[in-house]
Amino acid sequence: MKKIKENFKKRHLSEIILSNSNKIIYVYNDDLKTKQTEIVSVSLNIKILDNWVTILYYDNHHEGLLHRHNKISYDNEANIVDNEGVKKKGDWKKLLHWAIEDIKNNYIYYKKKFLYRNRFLLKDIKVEKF
Amino acid sequence: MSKAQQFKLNVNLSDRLANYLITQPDILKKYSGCSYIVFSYKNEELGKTVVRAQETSNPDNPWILTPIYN
Repeated sequence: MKKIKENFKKRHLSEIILSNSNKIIYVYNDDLKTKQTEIVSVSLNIKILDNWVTILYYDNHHEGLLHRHNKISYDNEANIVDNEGVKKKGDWKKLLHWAIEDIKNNYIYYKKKFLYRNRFLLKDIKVEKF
Repeated sequence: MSKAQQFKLNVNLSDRLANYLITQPDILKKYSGCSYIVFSYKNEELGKTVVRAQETSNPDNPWILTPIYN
């Protein structure tokens, strides 16, 4: 008889609306077995046409260190991982709070960089700048 | 240095790499969906194929990209 793998993780998902075309989605898991919490992602999502596109997200999957993932291109899922200037260690609540505040404070800058980089791909698509 | 200045300095390297990669559709296609790591890659175990990106001082070849297979 096959053992049924039990799911001990409880997922939490929340949104923070920054404006009509920008929002933060954050997801974290409570591991009910180990009592540990893992940040699945804290992401900046912008509306392009009628779709929400994640252009940046934080996670701490890798050795518990918080990382920033920057989407490179509108038409490709490749991203650049960095942690320069990122709060790397701390309990999950502090890291989650830090990531949310970083996106709240800098989302226009992140968005501006993404839109400028993708200006040729998005030349015929109207995207809110703010 | 202000917090805003420090912040812009911190994300500058990734931004330069992103601006370079978007002009290289063949590379983006070749490593489609990959994560590029610009530093501290030695201690990371992403559990997926990643690409090491090393910045050079050569304007004709500003980045050396090396896939790392876990």
